[in-house]
Amino acid sequence: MNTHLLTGMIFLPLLGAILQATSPSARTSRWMALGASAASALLGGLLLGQVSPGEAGPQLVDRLPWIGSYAIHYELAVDGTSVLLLLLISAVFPVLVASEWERSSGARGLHALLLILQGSLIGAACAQDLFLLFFFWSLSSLPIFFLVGVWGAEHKEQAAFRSLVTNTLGNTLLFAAFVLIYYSREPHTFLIREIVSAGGMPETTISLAGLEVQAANLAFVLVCAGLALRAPVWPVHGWFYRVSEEAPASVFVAVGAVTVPVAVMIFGRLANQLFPAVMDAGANWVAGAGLVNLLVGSVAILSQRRISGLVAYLCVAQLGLCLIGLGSQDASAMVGVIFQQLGAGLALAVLGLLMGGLATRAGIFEVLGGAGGLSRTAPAAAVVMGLAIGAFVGAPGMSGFVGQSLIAMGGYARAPAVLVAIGISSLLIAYSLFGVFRRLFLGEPQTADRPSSGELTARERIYLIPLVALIVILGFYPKPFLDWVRPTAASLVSRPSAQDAASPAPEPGQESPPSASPSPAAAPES
Amino acid sequence: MGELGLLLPEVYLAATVIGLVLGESAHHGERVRLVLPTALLGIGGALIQTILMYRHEAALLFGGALSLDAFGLYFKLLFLLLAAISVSAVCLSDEIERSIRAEFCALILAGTVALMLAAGASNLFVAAMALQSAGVVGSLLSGFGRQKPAASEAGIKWLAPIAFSGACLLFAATTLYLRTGTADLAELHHLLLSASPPGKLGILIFATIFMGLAIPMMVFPGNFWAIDVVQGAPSIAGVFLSAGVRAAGFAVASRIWFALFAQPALEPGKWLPLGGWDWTQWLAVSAGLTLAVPALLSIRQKNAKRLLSCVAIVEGGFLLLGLLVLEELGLAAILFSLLVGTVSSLGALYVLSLSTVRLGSAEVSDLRGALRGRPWESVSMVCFSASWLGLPPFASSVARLALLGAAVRREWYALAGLGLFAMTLTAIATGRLLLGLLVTGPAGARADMEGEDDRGRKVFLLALLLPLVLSTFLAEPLLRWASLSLRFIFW
Repeated sequence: MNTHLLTGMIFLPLLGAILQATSPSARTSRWMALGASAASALLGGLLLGQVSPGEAGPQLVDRLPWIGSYAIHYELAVDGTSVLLLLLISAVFPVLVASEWERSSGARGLHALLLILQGSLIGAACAQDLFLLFFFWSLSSLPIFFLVGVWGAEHKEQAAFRSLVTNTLGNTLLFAAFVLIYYSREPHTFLIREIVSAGGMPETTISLAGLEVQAANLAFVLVCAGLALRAPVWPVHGWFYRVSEEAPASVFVAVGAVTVPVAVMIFGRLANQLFPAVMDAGANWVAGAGLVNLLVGSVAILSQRRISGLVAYLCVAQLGLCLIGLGSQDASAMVGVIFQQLGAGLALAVLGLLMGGLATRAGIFEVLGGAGGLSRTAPAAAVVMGLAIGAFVGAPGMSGFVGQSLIAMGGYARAPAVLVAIGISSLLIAYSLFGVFRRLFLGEPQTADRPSSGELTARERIYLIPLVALIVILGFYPKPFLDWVRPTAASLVSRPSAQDAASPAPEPGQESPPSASPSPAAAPES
Repeated sequence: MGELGLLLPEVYLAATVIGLVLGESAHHGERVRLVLPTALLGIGGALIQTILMYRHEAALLFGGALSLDAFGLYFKLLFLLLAAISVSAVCLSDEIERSIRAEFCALILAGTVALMLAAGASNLFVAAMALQSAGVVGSLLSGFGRQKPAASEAGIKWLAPIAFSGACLLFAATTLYLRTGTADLAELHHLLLSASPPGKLGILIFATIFMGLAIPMMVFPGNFWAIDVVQGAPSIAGVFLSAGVRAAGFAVASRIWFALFAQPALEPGKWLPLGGWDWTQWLAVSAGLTLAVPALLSIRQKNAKRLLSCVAIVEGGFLLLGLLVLEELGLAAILFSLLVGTVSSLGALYVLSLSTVRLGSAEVSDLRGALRGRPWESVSMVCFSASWLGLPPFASSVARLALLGAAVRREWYALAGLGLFAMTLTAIATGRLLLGLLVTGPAGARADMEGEDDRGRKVFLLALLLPLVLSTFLAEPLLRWASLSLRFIFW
C-alpha cells in the first residue's frame, strides 16, 4: 500500500526548515520548527499503527522512478529493522528542537539544521535504493558539521573539522561500495530488493593493481569502513569524543542517540542482505570489533573526568554491544540489537539532555567538579538521571534489560566467552554511572559556586517525561515492539538452503516477492 | 537570410555588444544605466532564437565550417545561461566598478559569441579560431577589476597558454589539411575511417590537438595557469574561463576526438579508438593527474579563490573521465555536469566575491566570519559549494556517479578511486573554508558589515538556487536532454 506517510515524514521537516528560517518573528519561527518536527513524528505514529507485526518484508512502500538512466528509484519502505528507528527519531527530534527553545542567537539556523538532520535520517533509515540511501545518509553529515562548527563550544572548529574529515571519508567509502555493487550486476541496479532476490551481490572478481579481488569482499569492507567512520567504532572514534566535548547537548544527542543507531542499522541490513556469504565469513570479525569497542568503552568510562566524555564512551560501549549482536548472527541477538538501538538511544537522549541542562544552568561539567547533593535541590533531575542510568545498566523494568539480555543470549549461542565480556562491561558501566550519580546527586548539597540548583525546568519536564515513560514501557511491556522486529530480524540472519539458492531468480523488472516470513519457531519469543 | 538566418542567436548577441558599446559611448556618466536590461534583452532574444533552432534539421553551414545540430544547440543554451548569470552577477556586485561594467558586460557577450561559434564548429580551423577568440576575450576580462596588478598579471598568464593552445590546434589542422585536403570534421572522419594516418603522424596529431585542448579544458598538463589566473582575475572572469571556455573546450574535444580518433563499435552507443594505438591511455593519465594534483593542492591553499580554482580543476578531471570511456553515457554525463557545474561555480564564486570585495582580501584567514549574520549568503554558499563538489542532495551527485560509473564500467578502477580521493579532499578543503566563513573571526564581530541588505542580490541568489535544487528532481529529463543532444555523433 502506498500511503506516502514516509515521504511526509521526510519532507515535512525539510519544508519546516525552510519556512521557519524565512519567518519574520523569532517566536513564530520556533513554533514552526517544533510544529514541523512534531508533525513528522505524528505521521510516524500513524505509520506505526499501520505496520503489520507478522510481516518480514518491506511495508508501506513509497515507490517512484527517479533517474531512469541510472536505474535510480525513490523507494522507501519500513520493515522490522527501521520501524523502531522511526519511533526513536520521532520521539527524540521534537525534544531536541524544544531543548533549544531559549537559544538567543542563531536559533533559526540551528533548528533548520536539526530538521534537515531529522528528515535525512528518516530517509536513510527507510531507503530501499542504495543511491537514495547514500543521498540521505551523506546529506545527514552536512548538518552535523555545521551544528558542531557554528554552535559548539570553544574548540568547536577542531571538533567540526574532525567530524568533517571522518564523515566525508566515510561517505566516500560507502559511495565507492555502492558504485561497485551497482556495476557488478547486469542489468545495473541500486534497488536492494532486486539484489536480494538475486541472492546478494554476485561473485564477480575485479582486477586491482594486478590482484584479483572478489567484488563482494571489497564492497563489504568498504561498507564496513564507511559506516565505522560515521559511527564511533574504535579506533576511529576520536571525532566523536571531540564532538561530545564541543557540541551543544542537543547536537550530541542527535549524533550519539540517533545517527549512530541508524549507522548500525544500515550496516546490519546491508551486510546480511547484500553480502550474506561474506557476512557469514566475517561475522567473527564484526563480533570481535564489537567486543573491543565494548571493553574500550567500558574501561574508558572509568577514567573520564568530564561528563561529556563519559557519555561519549558510554555510546562507544553500546555500539560495541550492538556489533557483538550483529556478529553473533543469531535471530534473538538481532532482535536485541534492533531493540537496544531504541532503548539505548532514548536513554542517551535523556542522559545527554539532562547533563547538558546541568552544564548550562548549574555549571556542572566535571564528574569531580565539587558538585554534590543535587538530589535535595533537584529531585526531579535525580529521578530522571536514575532512570536513565537504570536503562543503561540493564536494570530490570528498563528498556536496556530486554535488549542487553537478548544480545547476551544470542552472543552466548555463538561464543560463550562473549557473555563474560558483556558481564564485565556491565559491571564497569554500572560502577561508573552509579559513581557519577553518587558524586553529583547524593551527599551534602554544595551550592556555594553554583548559579542554580540544576532542577529541571517546566519545559524540560514536559519533554523529558515522554522519553522516560517510553524507556519504562519498553522495559515492562516490550512485546508489541519485539513483534514488529522479530520476523525481519529472523529473515536477516536466515540463509537460503542450497535448494533455494538453486531456484531461478526473478526476471529483471519483475516484482520480487516480499521476503518470506519465517516460521514462528525460527523467531524467538522474548 | 539563408544560412545566416541559422546564426541568428550569434547575430543577436553581436548586435547587443554593439548596442552596449554605443550606449556606453553616448551616455557615459549618467546615473541611470541600462547595461543590465540591454544585455539581458539581447541574451533573451538569442535564447529564444536558439530554442527555435530546434525546429530545423541538423545541417552543415557555410561549406561545412559550422554545424547546426542538437549538440551545438545544447552548448549554445549553456553559454547563454552563463552569459545571463554573469552579466547579472557583474551588475549586482561591487567587484567591477560601475564605470566599466558596460565594457565588462560587452566583453562577456562577445566572448559568448565566440563560445557559441566554437560549440557549432565542424571545421578544425573554425574551432581553433573560435577558441582563440574566446581565449583572448577571457584574457581581457581577467585584466579588469580593482586589484589591477594581480588582474593584469592574470590576463597575461592566461593569454600566453591560450596562444600556445591556438598554435597547437592550427598546427594539427594544417597538417591534416595538407595530408587530406580538408579540415572538415565529417569529411575527415570518413577519410580516416578508410585510411587512418600512419602511427607516428597520428600520434603527433593527437598530441598537438590534446595539448591545444588541454589548456581551455583545464586538464593536465594544460591546467597550471588556472590557479593563478582565477586568483588574480575578477570572480566573474574566473567563472567565464573555468566554466565557459572549458565547456567550449570539451565541446570541441568531443567533436574532434570522436571524428578523428574514434570509430563506432559494434555495440550501439559505444566507440573504439581509431588506428592501431589506444590514445585513451593518455587521457587516463591526464585525468588521473588532473584529479589528484589539484585535490592535494586544495588542502594547502590559504587563498579562497585559489582553493575554489582547485575545485574547478578537479571537476575538469571528472569531465575527462566521461570523455575517455568513449560511450554515449559518458558524453551525456559531461553535458549534464557542465550544466549543473556552471550554475554552482558561478554561484559560489559570486558569493565569495561579495565577501572579498567587502573585506578587500581573499585570504581564508581574513575572510573568517565574513558570512556571519548573512543567512542568504551563507545558505547559498553552502548549497553552491556542495553542488560544485558533487555532494547530495544536488543533481551534481548524480553527474559524479555517472562520470565515476563510466570509469568503473571500463574497469578503470584506479581512476575511479582517484576521483573519490579527489572528491574527499576537495570536500574537506571546501568544508574548512565554509566553516571559516561562517564562524566569528579572531578580529571579532564585523560590525562594519552588519545590516547590509540588497533585495536584488537576494533575488539573484534565489534565482540561482531554485534551479539548482529543482535539478535534483529533474535530473532524469535533463539527462535525457543531454543524451538526445548527442545526435551529432551519427555522421
